[in-house]
Amino acid sequence: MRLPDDEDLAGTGPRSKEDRIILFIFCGLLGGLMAAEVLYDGSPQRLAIVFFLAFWVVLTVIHEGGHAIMAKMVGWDIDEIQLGFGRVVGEFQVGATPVRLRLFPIVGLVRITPTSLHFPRMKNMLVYAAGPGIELGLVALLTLVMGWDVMTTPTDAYTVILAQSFALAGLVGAGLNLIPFSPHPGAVTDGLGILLSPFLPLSHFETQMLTPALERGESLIEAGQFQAAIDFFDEGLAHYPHVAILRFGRAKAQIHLGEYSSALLEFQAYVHGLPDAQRAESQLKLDELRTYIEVVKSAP
Amino acid sequence: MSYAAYQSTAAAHAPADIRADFIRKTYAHLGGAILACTALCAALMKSSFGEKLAFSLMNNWLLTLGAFIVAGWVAERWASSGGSASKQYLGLGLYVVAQAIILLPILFIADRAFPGENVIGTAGILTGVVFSGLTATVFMTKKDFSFVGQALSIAKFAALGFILVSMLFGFSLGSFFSSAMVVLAAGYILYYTSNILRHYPIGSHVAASLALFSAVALSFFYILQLVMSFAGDD
Repeated sequence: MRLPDDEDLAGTGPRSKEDRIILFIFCGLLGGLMAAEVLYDGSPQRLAIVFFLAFWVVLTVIHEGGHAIMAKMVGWDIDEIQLGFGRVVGEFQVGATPVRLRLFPIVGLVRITPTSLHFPRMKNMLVYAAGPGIELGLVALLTLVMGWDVMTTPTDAYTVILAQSFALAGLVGAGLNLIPFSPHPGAVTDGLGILLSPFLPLSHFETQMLTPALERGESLIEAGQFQAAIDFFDEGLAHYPHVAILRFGRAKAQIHLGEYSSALLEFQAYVHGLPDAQRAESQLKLDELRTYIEVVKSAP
Repeated sequence: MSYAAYQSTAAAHAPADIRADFIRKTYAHLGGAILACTALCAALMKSSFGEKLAFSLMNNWLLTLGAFIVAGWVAERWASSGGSASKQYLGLGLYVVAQAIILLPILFIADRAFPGENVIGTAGILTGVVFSGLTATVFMTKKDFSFVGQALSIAKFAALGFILVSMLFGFSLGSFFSSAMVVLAAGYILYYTSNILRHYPIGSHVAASLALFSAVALSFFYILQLVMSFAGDD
């Protein structure tokens, strides 16, 4: 049995004045003790902790910027940049891209949409690699400027400690991102993204590319223009016959027109025609369609 | 209806007897995990293999810590996978073993550097008192402490930063940091306990006990450091 994600549970934050007081005392106590640990013997090395944590935030911004810049360079659209977790504390635009700043900016993500199917796997790999790549590039540049010996020798000089802390934050950040694993269902690290990119089916990129168009089809269904929605999805399928979500949208529009069995049979035939590895997800969509028929039938 | 019929229902929404059963199972598993970890530590401390292992871990503490984080992550994944019961128990078992190994060096130091002072026993009793007090607070007030989750995530991240930087920049973390970690562990005990009463799904007792066990072990580790630092002052 899976436990709910800590961040899911914590998403609401304090709910009452009492909660806020408890949180304030807890954070004050923790922060005070940590600050005392940094300051108590006055040694410059201990400031590396503060520098490290501060540079982590800076490097999170640079890392996500790396993904976004590479996406732009390969001609893909950037839908959104998110910096941090917790509640949203600010929203602004960089060019045409919305940036959402959250309370704790120690992680981030960039949502992108392919705009063409021209070398999509290679471009996807480059976009994933650009985040840790820009961090490692900056660390390499800094090491080149400061010198390897200076960067690896213990010292009391503040500027060197500053540089060493930056390098450490960059190496740890890039290193963690390059470990290939899935931190939670549906998410991959940059390392896993790079490794998986060459093996992604073309339909994966087609689906990503057509998501905005799908929203238009869905809005036609919501507006009750079912035949127009079918025509819209047919037009998409003429160009991208392997994209399941277009067939799914078409089937939904058919259901609204009362064509229950043809909607199901056509989607069923499509699912059966898929290779085994791609069938499971579409099989779920088929089950979803069956439920959808019941919902539409029972609607007033 | 049976316990199994309420699988996936959040504890707060389950009938009282089902919820009580879930809580009983969680704490029974926690007790089992603590006993298993204690037995494993005791066995390792009495063996020459345990001594060799403890000293080699001390010499490669960064690697040890990295391996512990990976093992903890895998164990948590298995225990909360929703897969077979054997996989969940394998997760809890792996975590108990990893925890015993990470505790081994500090237990050896405590045993050898403070002979006859029973610092381990004192730390164990203090951990028990802290855990019981915090658990009783949640059970009696019925307060939902899930709102501290984000603060805990940030504090855990900062704590890892402290540990990593101190190792690489060559300085030791002292009593202020140990105290901060005890406060952090206390926060986790409040958080997990209130989640067990309210948010965790019925049937997740193995994963819930692992979460609680990790907080208890963290608390014990740093309370032992504090006890040693005070014993050293005498």
